[in-house]
Amino acid sequence: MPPAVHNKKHMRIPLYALLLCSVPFMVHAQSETDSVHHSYTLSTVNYTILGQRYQKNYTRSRELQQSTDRLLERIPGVTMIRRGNFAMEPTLRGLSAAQINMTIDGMQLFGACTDRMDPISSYVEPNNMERIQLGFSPNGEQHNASVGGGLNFSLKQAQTGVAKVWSGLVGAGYETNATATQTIAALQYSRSRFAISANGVWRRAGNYTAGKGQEIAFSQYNKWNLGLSAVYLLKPNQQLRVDYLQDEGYNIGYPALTMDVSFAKAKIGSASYIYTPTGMKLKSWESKVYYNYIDHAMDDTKRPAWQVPIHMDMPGTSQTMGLYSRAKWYYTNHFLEAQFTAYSNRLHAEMTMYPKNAAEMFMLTLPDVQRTVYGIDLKDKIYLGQDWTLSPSLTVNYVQSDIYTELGKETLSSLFTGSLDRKNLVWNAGLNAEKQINGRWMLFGQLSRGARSASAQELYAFYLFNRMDNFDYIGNKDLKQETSVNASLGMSYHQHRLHIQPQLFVYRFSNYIVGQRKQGYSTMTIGASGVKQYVNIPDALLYGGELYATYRPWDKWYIQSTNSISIGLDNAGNALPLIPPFKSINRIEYTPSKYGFYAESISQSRQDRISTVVYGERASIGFTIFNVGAGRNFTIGKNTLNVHAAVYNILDKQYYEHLDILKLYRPGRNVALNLSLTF
Amino acid sequence: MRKIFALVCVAIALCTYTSCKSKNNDPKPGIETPAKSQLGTASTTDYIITLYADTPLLFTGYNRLYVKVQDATGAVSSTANVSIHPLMEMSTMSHSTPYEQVSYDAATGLYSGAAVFIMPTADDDAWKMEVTVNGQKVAIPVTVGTFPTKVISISMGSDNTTYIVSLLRPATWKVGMNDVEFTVHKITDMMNFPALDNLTIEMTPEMPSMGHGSPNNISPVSTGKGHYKGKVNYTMTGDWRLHLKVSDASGTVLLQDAFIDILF
Ligand SMILES: [Cu+2]
Ligand SMILES: [Cu+2]
Repeated sequence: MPPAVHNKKHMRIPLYALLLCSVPFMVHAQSETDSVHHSYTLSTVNYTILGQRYQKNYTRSRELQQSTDRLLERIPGVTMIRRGNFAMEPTLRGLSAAQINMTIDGMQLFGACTDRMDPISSYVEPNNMERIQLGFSPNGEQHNASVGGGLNFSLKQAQTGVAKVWSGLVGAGYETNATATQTIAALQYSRSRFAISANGVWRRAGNYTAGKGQEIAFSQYNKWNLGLSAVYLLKPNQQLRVDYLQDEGYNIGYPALTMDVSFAKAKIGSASYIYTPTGMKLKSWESKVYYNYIDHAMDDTKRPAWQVPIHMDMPGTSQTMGLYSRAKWYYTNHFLEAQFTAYSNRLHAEMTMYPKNAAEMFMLTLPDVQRTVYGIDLKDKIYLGQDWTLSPSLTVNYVQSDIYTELGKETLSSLFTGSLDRKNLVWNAGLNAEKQINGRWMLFGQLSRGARSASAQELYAFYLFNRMDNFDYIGNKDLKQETSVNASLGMSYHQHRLHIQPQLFVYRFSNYIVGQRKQGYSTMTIGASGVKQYVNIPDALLYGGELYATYRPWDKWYIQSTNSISIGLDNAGNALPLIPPFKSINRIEYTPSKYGFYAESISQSRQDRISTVVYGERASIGFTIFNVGAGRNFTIGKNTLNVHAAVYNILDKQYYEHLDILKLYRPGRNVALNLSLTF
Repeated sequence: MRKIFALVCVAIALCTYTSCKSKNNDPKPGIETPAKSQLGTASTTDYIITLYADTPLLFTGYNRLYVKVQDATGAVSSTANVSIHPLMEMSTMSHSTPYEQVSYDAATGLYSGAAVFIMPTADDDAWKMEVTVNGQKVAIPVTVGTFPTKVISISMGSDNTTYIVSLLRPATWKVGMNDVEFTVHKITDMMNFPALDNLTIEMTPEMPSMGHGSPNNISPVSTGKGHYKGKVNYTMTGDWRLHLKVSDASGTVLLQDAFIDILF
């Protein structure tokens, strides 16, 4: 049993098993509101193949064939930016990119693509994961300074001392739309002191068809992913752990962008030492070193000539090396956590253009930026009597940015004079409070101050094209930190058939970073409307809410509703871009014995809170789509076979979400069939 | 303790990794003076005269020239009265080209000057450099090639005068901000090409294959002796065209677009 992470949950914490969507029957992707109450844990993903928890394997195994994107977009407050049928980019309540902090198992990773084609979530598969941790406040589950919380994808680890020495699963799925196939497998070998596990996914898809039979060209993808985990117990309470993740995508189309991807590869490795003493105040001490390398190459060779005025190559790399050491103590009524973290990231992105009758042209688009961060996090959770829980927290980061090659410095002499180095001291502080009013009612709220230093792109971008507003972007090395004061208040009503949890939030930003038109600069990208530079605007406001409710009218029947809305305004009252409008996912499930049936609707309202002139965004019409699914479990000896069929978008509606770049239609009707066998 | 030791090791490794930014610090090209190439030598009664340039071949456009004067014993002279005069002899006539008279440079021990060749050597049309040392004259034949890109612009101005705008080629260009220098001369007659000061030059770089320019350029300003210095910004490598709009002191546009082409 992995230490503290789980111990925490078994403590005297008000614990709510919110039933959260996505799985057709019985065991739902279970989201426990963690102590901070806005940190959701998907326990479907939490579940290990060995069934050490009370969950059904088939549920799990079917879920594993989904993409991470599909899991994420069902979590309230999460909306995905879509550029194709692959690697969607998560936003949290309308905050994205550098405003949120995405990690894999606590490791920092940064996408290598300058066009945001490879968010970190694209390099991790449900099959790799134990759970997804999500925080909306700067000091949620994240251990890094940010203005809007973040996402952590906790990796599944090999388990020692399991009764079955060998265990595993195989699965395959087929979808009629895009003739997509998924093949997954996982295998574990477990002894008392040693365990090793491997899991793999192979996915491929052709062009998908949007509603009404419209084929979306350049929407294909191919990828494989391999996760390895080995654990060795030095002593019963001391373990060494090595994890390795490799994810490689090939020939991936991005129909909303001007280029596709010839490959997107990530190699992610770490080694950890975990000490979990018993009978001490110290509950756990985990130290990890890690390294990851991301290699990305964009490609325009498959596009028709009229789309490619000049053929170009645009490769990029990102490498990060880091460590953290994190300890947790539990004494009397305190649960204390302290962490030291350090990492360094290097980004390189370049572009070579090949005009027909002239010399080739070369430039750096992200001029060899290096960023080194040292951080300390302190967090306490104080239990005051039976009713109150208070969690103060503090994060301090020292962020150093500079340019590590002469060519990078020369390139930036085009834009800037003086030193390119940046040093920022960034701090977050917050307080969460929970008040149990009685057995059914609970109030929770938090107030925090968040800050982030400008990202490598915001500081040093060298003519990065943004397809959304059709502008080339240049960096601004003099950007100030973006800060936020953020408050949320929610309540929870819980009885055995009904659970309702509304929540309101507000973020007040200072020195909010946006792109602002820069006059007198000529565009680099042929056809671009102009050049924008990142600037701090004095302030911005983001507010909204989420409502989550479940109801069991009768046994075997289950109804769930997930709703969210965000509204963002800049200092001049202009609507901020990429803010999701009201979205509602409603679902009904019926689960007689070995069968499961569900039907759901997904709706998004229209979004006309936009500022076309300032941020280049267009209005969106709303939509509603319907999905249905059914599944059955067969027991074959000691193994379980699960068969699941679903029809997505049964009315074959042409629709897009507001955050979809170019408002490209999403897939039309899609019939999916999944088989999986656990052993 | 072992754990702490391991952590410290990793921390040191990380710090080392992050601080090794000098790894890619290639030596800056073009800062040290390149070795000079000998173009030719000739002797008079009292002197051995050797002509040098920065490159083995001279090109159309601006070329720095150096003269070494030695007496019969081989001792280098620094006090001689030295002058140069470029001359092209064609079948029917001969003409000179804009040039900058040499003067003694103690740092190199050479007399240095320059010539702006307005045309390359052709079959019957040969360039020679006349060098006069204390009244004794020699002629050293030189070959002038055509530079691969257009580094000199010879065009008729709005006042019907022919102007010669020439780029001083640096040893190397780099991406980003570069110093840039031009000379401007006009043609009075076949032998006289006076340097022009106090003109206004408006410089606009462009990449013709993409149609874009670059920001933050500083148009060249007159620094005397027909020279103009400014800063040019190359946002990427490739073909660049520097559009030069030249006006006189009264604001009259003399040359709408005397452009110079660059490839690096
Ligand atoms: Cu890309
Ligand atoms: Cu260009």
